[in-house]
Parts: sequence; structure tokens; C-alpha cells
Amino acid sequence: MLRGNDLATAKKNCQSFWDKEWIGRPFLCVTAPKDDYNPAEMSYDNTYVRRMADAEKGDYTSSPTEYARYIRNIVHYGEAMPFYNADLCPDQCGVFFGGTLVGQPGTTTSWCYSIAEEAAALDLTLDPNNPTYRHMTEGFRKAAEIANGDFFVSVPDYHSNMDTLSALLNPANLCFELMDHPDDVMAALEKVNSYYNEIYENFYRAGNMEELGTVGWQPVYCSGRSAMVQCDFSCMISPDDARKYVVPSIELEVSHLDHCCYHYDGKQALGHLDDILAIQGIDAVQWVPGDGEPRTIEWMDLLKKIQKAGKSVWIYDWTAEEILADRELDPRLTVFSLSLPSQSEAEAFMKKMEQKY
Amino acid sequence: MARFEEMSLLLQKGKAKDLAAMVQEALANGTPAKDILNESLVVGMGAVGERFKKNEVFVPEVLIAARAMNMALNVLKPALAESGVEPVGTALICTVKGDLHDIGKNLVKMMIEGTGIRVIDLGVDCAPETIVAAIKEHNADIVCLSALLTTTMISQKDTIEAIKAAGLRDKVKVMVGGAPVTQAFADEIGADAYTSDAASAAERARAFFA
Repeated sequence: MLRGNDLATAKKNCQSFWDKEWIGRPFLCVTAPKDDYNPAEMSYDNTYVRRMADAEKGDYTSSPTEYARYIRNIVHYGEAMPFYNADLCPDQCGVFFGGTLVGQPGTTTSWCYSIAEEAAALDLTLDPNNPTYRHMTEGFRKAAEIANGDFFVSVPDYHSNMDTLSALLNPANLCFELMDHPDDVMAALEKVNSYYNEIYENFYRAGNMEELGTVGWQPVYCSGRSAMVQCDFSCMISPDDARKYVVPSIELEVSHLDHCCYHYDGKQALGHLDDILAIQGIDAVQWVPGDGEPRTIEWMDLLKKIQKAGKSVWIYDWTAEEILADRELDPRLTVFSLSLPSQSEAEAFMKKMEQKY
Repeated sequence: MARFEEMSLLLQKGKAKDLAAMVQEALANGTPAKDILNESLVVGMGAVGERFKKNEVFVPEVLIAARAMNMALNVLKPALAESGVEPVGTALICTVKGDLHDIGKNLVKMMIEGTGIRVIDLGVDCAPETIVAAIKEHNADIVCLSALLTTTMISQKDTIEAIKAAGLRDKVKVMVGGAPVTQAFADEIGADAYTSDAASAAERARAFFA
């Protein structure tokens, strides 16, 4: 494992994160280029569009091979783990159910184009021969082979539950359907949700996570099943609708996982905060204020409220100086992700953090 | 006596068919189309916008209200034209180049239509040259540019520059919006207006014709 000699300690600390045990400092996922990094190996094209284009050519190895070269140049501190993202699209669950996968020319991302206007028109049977499902499964297998235990293959970013329906219908049509045909929406949602475990297990096995454990988009290593859970669509609907459609979906997903983090995206979704925090199985929350909003450090009351509810917070956008200066967050319930420009700076930062606590 | 308040309430509840039928009935009873538009549809949509700003209703409720208004407008249009009531102006709306997120744009479109402005929807991912061509073709008074991402909001600036380069900047008002857009950004790129939500966008657009 490229994580280094302290892998066992890092794994133990990660378990402490999930168990909410104090390790003498906040949890830290810190990375930096090694002092002797090879510049030629650092320019790794890690985009959806590239992986999608590779997969369509049947090339499942180039991208993880380049990642394997790249990650040799990165040093990991604290609880950080090396992981490769093999996803093909942000809304990939929508694509698994027949949505059209389209790479956006001139950008790094790919999209799931909607395929219907009404929920009743959707055929929500998961076809294991769906091309994207097959490509992605094979991509996970090859990446795990190439990793050979040196790095993890990231748990997919599913965009499941209502986000899948939103991708398949488009958000506006799903809104109309909520008003016009709520029973159809509920039936479609239950069908999509019924596949969560099957989809999760497919990539869990393909990515060799059964043996190695899970990490990735959800940043803290877990020896069992973990994932990021979310419902971005919730920002459009009322608290009543969120309680009806979103909360039970998240509870269902959480029940399949040993641990999870909730990706909380956008201030328009804050009306559901109490309902989300009341979900027992959510261990941590990643607050994402959204483009154009102040950074998370400006949302201290919200972060404290999350911690007061017994959930940890994942902070990903503070500077080293801000993390070192922080006296407000409960460090037992905080994980910071931080990329620093050099190994020496990362080591100095880790030392200062140890001294602080 | 036309039942303006009833029609306004039907619109607010998104009861499109009932509203269209009542508009038809009001027209048949001799109620001027302009009065129906201003006393029920515009008032109803304004009320929805206010409730949306206060988090009393949410996107689905606004969308069905806007749909009801559009259906009612379709009933009204022939009568409006017959009585010489023209749209107060023409607005173009689109998401800018690179941006495919269109729910905000669609919402703004419907809300602006509710103020009596004709809206031409250019769709998503619109290049500056497409927008410039559309301004000329439709003789537009307003251009509404939507961007959801920090990576695409720069296309709003590119579009304004293309409009300037085409010699059309003095002819059209440019409105910008979208999650990452701020008043400061709008000022920086030389937009005429920034609004943070669909209801405010509709109010602002209408104010250009005051």
C-alpha cells in the first residue's frame, strides 16, 4: 500500500473516527507531492470525459495505470488514503437505468441526458448488460487489478434515489411529476431504491473493496461498507416532500452501509437539515455551500449544529493556517482534508497539529 | 363581475385546466383580456413569487403555477391581439456556453412571461454568436443569461463582450443570474441587472419597461 508504513495506525485512527473516539487531534487527510516527485508523472488526466472515452474504446487500463504512476509521487499523512476514481459520470445511476451518457465537449465532465417526461414511462429494471454498467464494472475490476493493493478504488458517487429520477426525467419534469403524479414518482423511487444494494455490491466486489475496505469520495477509510449518501434534488422541494421521498430513501441506503457521510449540497436544501441530522445511521456531514456562496469556514453555526447532533463534519476547503487556528469546532467530530504544495510543508503542518493538541 | 381573485388562486394552486376554463368563461362574458391578464394572472404569479422568496412554496409549486399561467395566456393571446394589446417587449433567455443546467432558466422564463413580456427561449449551452444573432433576429429588448457553475459564468462575460462587439450593447439590457453569480460579478462584467431568484428576475425585467 502506497500509504506507507503507518497504514495500520491510519486504519486504526479511521476506525476511531467512525467510533467517535478521540485520537489526540482532529482527523486529518493530508496529501502533498513527495520532495523527489517526478514532474512527468504528475499531469494525470483524471476526468470523466477521458475515462468515458477510454471505456468506449475498451481501454480500462490506461487511466488507472497513469494514476498508479501519479500516486507514487504523492505522500499521505494522517488518515489520508490513496484512491482511484473509476466513475464514468456524476449521474451514473441514471445512466445505468437507460439515461444517455454524453461527454460534454471542451469540458471535463459527462452528463446523463433525460429520456422521459413522466415517471410512469420509465423502465426501471436494472440491465446488467447496460453498456455503461458493464464498462464501469470492468473499469473497477481492471483498476483493482492494477492497484494490486497499493491503492483503493473509490466507492462510486452514485447519485441514487431522487437524483436518479431527476437525471432520467430532468429536474423540472420530476418537479411536475411530484405535483401531477406523486404515486408514480413514489413507485419509480421505490423501484430505483430497490437496486441500491445490488449496484453497491457489484462495485464493492469489482473494486476489491471486500478485501481492502472502502474509501474515496467519502474520505475516511472504512474496513466495511461505506459511501457518500446524498440527494441534491432535495434543494428544490418542501420539507414535507423531503420527508416523504428523500429521508426514507437515505435511511434505506444507510441501512446497507456500515458507515456513511452525507453530502449536503446547497443552502436551498437547508430546510431539511433537522430531518437529515435525525437519520441515525449518518456518521458525518460534508457541507457544500455551493458556487458563489461563502466557504464553509463562514458557516460555523451550521457546522456546530451538525456536531451538536452528534455527527462529524468533513471540512475540505480550509487552509492550513485556518485549520491550525481553529478553536471552534469539536476536534473529535472533525475531519479535515488538505492538499499542501510540498512534503516539507505537510510534515510541518502535521507536527504543528500534534503540538496543538 | 369577473372573478379575478378566483382565477389568481387557481393559478397559485397550479390548476391549469380550471384556470383556462375560467379565463375562457370570463372572455365570453365580455371581460377585457387585458384586465384578466393584469388583475388575475400577473397578480397570481406575483403572489407565487413572493411566497417562493419566503420559502412558503418550492420549485414544484412555482412550476405548476407557471404552467397554469402559460395555459391561461394561450387562451388569452388571441383576445389580447384582437384588442391591440401587444407584449411589452421581447426577452431572450438561455444558459450560456458550456452550461446545461436549465431549471433556473425555465423558471425565470415562465415568470417573465407572466409579466407580459414575450420570451424567446434559446435553450442551453448557447454560444455568444448564437445569442448575438438571436438579438438581431428577434429585435430583443432584454437578454437573460443563466449560469449554474463558476466554470461557465465566465461565458456571461464573453457574451456581453460579443454583444458589445456587434454594436448591440446599447440596444439590449443584459440580465445575469445563476447560483454562483453575484451583484459584484454582474457589475464587473457590465451586466445591467443581477437577480438572485426567478421572481425578482421577473420583477426586474418588467421594470425595464416601466
